[in-house]
Amino acid sequence: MIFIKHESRELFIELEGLKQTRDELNIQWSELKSLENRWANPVRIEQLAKENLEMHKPNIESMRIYKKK
Amino acid sequence: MRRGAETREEISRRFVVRSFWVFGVFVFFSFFLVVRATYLQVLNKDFLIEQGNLRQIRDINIAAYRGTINDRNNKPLAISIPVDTISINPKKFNEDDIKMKQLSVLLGRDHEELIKLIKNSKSKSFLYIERKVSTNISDQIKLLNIANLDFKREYKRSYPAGEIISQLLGLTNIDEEGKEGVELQYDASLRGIPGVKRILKDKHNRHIENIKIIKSPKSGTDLTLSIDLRLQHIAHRALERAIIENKAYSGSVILVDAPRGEILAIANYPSYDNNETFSLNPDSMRNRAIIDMYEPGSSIKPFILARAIDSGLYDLASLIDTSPVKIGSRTIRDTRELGEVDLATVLMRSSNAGMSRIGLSLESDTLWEMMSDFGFGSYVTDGFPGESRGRLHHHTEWGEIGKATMSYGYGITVTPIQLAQAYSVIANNGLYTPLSLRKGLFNESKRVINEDTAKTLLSMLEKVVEDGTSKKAAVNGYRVGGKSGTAWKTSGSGGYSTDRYRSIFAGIAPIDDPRLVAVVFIEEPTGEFYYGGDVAAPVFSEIISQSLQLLSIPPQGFITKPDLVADNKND
Repeated sequence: MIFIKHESRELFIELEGLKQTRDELNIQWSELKSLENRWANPVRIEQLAKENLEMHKPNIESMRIYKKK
Repeated sequence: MRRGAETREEISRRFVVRSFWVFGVFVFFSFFLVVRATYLQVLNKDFLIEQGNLRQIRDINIAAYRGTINDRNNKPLAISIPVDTISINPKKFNEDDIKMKQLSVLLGRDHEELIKLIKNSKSKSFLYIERKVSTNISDQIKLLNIANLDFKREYKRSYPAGEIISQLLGLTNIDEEGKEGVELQYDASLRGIPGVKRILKDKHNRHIENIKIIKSPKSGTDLTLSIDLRLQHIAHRALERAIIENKAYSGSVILVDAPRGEILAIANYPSYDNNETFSLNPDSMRNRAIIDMYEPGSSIKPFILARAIDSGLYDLASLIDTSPVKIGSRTIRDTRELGEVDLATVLMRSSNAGMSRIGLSLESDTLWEMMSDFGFGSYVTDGFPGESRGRLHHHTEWGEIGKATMSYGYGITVTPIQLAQAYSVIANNGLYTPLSLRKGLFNESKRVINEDTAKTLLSMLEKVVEDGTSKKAAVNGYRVGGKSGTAWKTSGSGGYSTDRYRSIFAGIAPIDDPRLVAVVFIEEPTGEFYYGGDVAAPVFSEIISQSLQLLSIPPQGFITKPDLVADNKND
């Protein structure tokens, strides 16, 4: 009985530890996701493309459309 | 020797007496111990266990994760980030700790003030030091190892797209309960259910062991909106630019995927960043596209014509007299008289007199019924907080003048989203497909007008852009159609103001196989132009041309840049 009680307590501690690891990974995941989307904000991308790379939106005259046969 | 003199008998008697005493003392103390033990273990057991638990065992809430709001391509629009809330028990807290200085620096707070705050709260047993501290800062604070500082895991809402889409998403309060917009509308499913866990603490209030989970926290459900963040960005930017260029006050844009009934973009100006909630201005928080109602002016005309054609009374060949209409003391006239023209020209030149004549010739009850079927006067979203129904008077309240003015968009109020819904009916060959803010939520369609009527209207709307009042709505490479509107704003003193306008454009693209409907409202342009065809139509053109490209809808052959001079200012 004492042995089982001890074992269950140890398993519980292990479970808690794993849950904590999971939570921490989740935290990192949501932080990274949020960060990614701040960096990938269309306003920012457009500004960078315009200012640093001198890019612009293609107008329709300069586009070629290819259709699948 | 005295001892030697004792007899054996005497010795044994003394031994008995001594044993008796020793035994008596033992019995006495044992008895005392038994009584004390009984008192503690039997009589007072429950009370003592309870008191012990009260001092050591705590049930604490585990914050639940609020569901993420994503756009249709799974880009997060609202996401909960873990943060730590730091609190103390001022009674037990030693604020003279040398590390307090580092704490204030990490929190970005004034050291003296923080100490003062704690000193002033000595009578309380709970005080927030700082709520919602980002985890990388709270990790540094944990390293300081300040005694009796409590950390609690919570979540904070973050909106990566910021002001681009803030009014639609809305806000949560500090406890992560939805308070505005979609956050409020879908709060029940987004919200998580907090759990409870039991923990053991030592006398310094340090968390030493988790005993068990009493209730697991349940995360909220993620929500996928029909919004496309890329198109939302396009709409937001085009609207902002037009408002600044035309020195306007406010505006709204809605972009809809008509066949699916999905809202792709919904932008408003002025806007705000819902990550920064310390300075909120209600004027920029309102989702005008859904909440505000406006008189639609000429942009309502296609729906009166829809009834006219659907009833069989009119067709493309019908000729309409556009000379001034006299009703009682009022005369409805156009700025330039057109004489007798066909239906398409009435719409193309936006003749108010012609529209009044057509409106007056239609039966009131069926006209009212159809206007209701288009969605006017009723809610069109599935419960967006604060949505307005607009106002469509019952036909028994119209009177002749009311019916005539309604035919060119006065005396009726609509929300921009209602107008988008109504134009979608024309785009969908006469089927009303309810608009939705959620992706893949197919609502049942119902027929409002015949397919032929819808086709006729589409061709008439195309003419408005080709040769009529809205040439600036044209999109190079695509066939588009639509109708502009310029409405006088009501003035505070009653009646209409003569120098404050509203510019509207509502349109459909591509005409061959309609996919997109866009509605643009711009309030009080005070620049060079104020007509819907000059102010709102270019916004439509910009949004539609970029959206069609992004959605890979191929052009139908290149056209040259049209001459951008609208020749009739009668809308």
